[in-house]
Amino acid sequence: MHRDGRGSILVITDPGHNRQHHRGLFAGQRLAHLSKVLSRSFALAFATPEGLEFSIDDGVRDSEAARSVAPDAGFGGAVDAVFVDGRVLRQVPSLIAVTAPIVVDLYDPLIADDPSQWPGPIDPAARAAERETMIREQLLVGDFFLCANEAQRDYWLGMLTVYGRVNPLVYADDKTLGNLLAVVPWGIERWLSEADSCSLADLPLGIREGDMVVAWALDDLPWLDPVTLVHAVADLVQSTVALKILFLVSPRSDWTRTGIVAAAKNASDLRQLTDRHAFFINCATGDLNRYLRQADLGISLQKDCFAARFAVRPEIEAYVGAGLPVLATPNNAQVISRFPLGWVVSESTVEQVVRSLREFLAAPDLRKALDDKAQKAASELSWEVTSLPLVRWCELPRRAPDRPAGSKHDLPRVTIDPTLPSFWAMPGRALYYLKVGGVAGLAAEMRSYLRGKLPELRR
Amino acid sequence: MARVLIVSSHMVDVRMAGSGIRCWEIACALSRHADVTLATPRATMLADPQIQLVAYDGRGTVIRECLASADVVLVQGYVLQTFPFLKNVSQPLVVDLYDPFLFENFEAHRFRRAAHRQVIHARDLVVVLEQLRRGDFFVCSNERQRDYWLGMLAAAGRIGHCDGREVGLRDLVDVVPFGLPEISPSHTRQVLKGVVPGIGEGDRVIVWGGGIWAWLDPLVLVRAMTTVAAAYPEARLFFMGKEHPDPSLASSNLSLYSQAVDLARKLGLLGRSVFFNDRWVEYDERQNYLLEADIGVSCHQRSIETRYAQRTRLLDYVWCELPIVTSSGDTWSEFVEAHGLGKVAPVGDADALAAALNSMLDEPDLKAAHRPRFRAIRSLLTWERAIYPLVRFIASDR
Repeated sequence: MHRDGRGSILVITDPGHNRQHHRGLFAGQRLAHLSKVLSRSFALAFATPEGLEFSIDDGVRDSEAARSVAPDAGFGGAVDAVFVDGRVLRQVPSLIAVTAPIVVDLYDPLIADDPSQWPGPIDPAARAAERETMIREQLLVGDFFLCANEAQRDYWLGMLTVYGRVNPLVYADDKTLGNLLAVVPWGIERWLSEADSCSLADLPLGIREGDMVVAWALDDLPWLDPVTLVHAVADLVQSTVALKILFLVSPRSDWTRTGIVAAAKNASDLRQLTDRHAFFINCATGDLNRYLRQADLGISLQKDCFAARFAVRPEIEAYVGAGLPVLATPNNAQVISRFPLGWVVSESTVEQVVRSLREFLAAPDLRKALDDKAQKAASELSWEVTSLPLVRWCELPRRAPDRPAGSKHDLPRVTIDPTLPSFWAMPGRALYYLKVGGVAGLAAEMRSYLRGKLPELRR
Repeated sequence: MARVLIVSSHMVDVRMAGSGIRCWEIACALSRHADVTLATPRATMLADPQIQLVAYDGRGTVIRECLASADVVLVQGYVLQTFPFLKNVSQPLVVDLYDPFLFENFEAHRFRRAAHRQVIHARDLVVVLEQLRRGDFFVCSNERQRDYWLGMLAAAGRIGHCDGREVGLRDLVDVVPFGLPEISPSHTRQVLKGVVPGIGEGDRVIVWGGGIWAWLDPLVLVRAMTTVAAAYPEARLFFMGKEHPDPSLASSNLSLYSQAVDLARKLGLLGRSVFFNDRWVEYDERQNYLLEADIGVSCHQRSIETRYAQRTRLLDYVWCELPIVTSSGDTWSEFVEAHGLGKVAPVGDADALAAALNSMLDEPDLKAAHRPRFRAIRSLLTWERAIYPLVRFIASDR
């Protein structure tokens, strides 16, 4: 408890996660928004080796505790809960010994696969081992987990099952497992007004009054698919000169030579669209909303791949907040279908993108027509709403049922190593059951086994 | 043609439940593309000229013999645990993960002592992990399951570095949903209306297909029937299945069955508005019940099992063009809503369930009104379509 009577939460951020991995347009924004919401009800203390990239506006940030600290067991004891994201547990192993309940944000299932996290030559086996360790530690130490959509929740429940965190104790606590893992979708910061818009003069030369501008806040991630959009627009502009694509790329990523943005630029050059119908501009995170407010359609296309299936695409929420209709591939398109706010197309289908863009071009007042729906979406998907599961947990933080309070380094009792050797020999099984369920568990299993065997023996 | 050996973990016979049905139907559909041998725990009375049916014993001698002439092996459930030699076969091993039984067993064993529950779960988990480590190709029955299994496969070390170049990992795990027979159901004899004592020819029957498993919720339905019976005295609820047809599991579901009977009796509905079959209906006769019924119903609890469930009975309702009332929360409730196949009520809400049933009974020609919607989707849900990922795997250059 903080000295002012509010609950206290230690937020430990992962500098690698917020600065290196996500060098894109949405770097660190999730943590910033969740922290801002939490700060309205709780005293927050931040721990990060390099300082924060965001500030809490209302001044409730505890300046004394907010200095950069490396948390140790004693520090953890002073707070009611600990909130971590990224690979913090790998970087701050002492956190495992913290006695306060820990909530872990798992919104990025691919953090372990980001090449920028692995400087220098990489031994694949070493990387696999490191990846496995990093994920295992997160999943074993957390008392409550967050993710960003239902597909992620299914994926993480599978992972949590393997590491023994989905077990009868957790099930008895909540049959839906909602007390273990909840969805906190990416939220919408605020509804943008005309005043947030940049002027036409701020747009690249070549975009004129009356053009239909398709904007893509594009992170340089290999599972995104701007090349399909380039080909679709190349097909369309033969008859529609007023269609322009505006690729808004973070200047923090070196996208000019390799990667998916470079591939899109090459395709655009080949189709002779660059600087005529396709514009690639560096866009600082702070300028993104100004450009979006000036656009007519937001777009986000992904490939059909494992990474895309579980990735989060925050640009979609940014488009909705800017009042834009959206064209996107199915993963992460729930908001578009729900309200509805645009088109959902299959992955890598140029013809479907062309068809949708034709419909978009045929409805010049679409943005205005969808205004009410977009405002409703912005209100229902505000960070205040989406972060409710986190806020509720923080109001009553507690250790997970399989991580009883009192001991420090108490990994769950049911922890199954996925590399467990085959042990179907009777003594091995008995020993294993003894370890998992104690004498009572072993005895019950033996009774059950014998009951099953008796009819066979009688025969 | 490739030679496929399917080893069923449960009984495949004239009376069978989900697991056996799935093996049988997959075998039938696959037999158009491969030479199929179906190995079952005991001799079966079913026959199909395109399928070689063999019964295995506890030692698995027959399975060993069949292996010699198999190119691909498909297993499910506890088969790898029962016959560990299958883990070492040289043929590609397909694992059918259609049933996340870990979640079913959470509920089925909920009343056991905590220590024993932990042991049962640990044992189940090792069975699943063995499958995940050994399988070459996995199938499951819906996309939610697939996401869950991808998480498990990733944790089990079966998925490497993902950088967006791979195409969806469908060659590792894909969806083979439950399907429908291609032929339309035909009513061969009267079994319900005018036959079951208490159910008249002019009554309107709400049928609960299949068994009463621990994770389902027949009690909310029985409670709802007090309201339904008051508004529609001719409404009758009929539970089709009693104990599990597999003798080894026969007693596993009787607790909830007994609770449902007791509740119906307590509410004065038993034998008047609520009826329980005293046996398991034969697989080839299920359509007689469903074609006579007016509404098919399925209710489950709010639990993690529901999220991943694939309920065979709902496919049967679709096959027989039987308007559906179901609880929310599973993939099928979304499907029912999306295609207008019936009504969806919130889990555990007897009043909402009664309102949904009443509104359906209120429609003068309920089945005729829904028929075009069923006809529009039936051809998309056939077993022939469902097994495509298996056909692709068997035909692939592995």
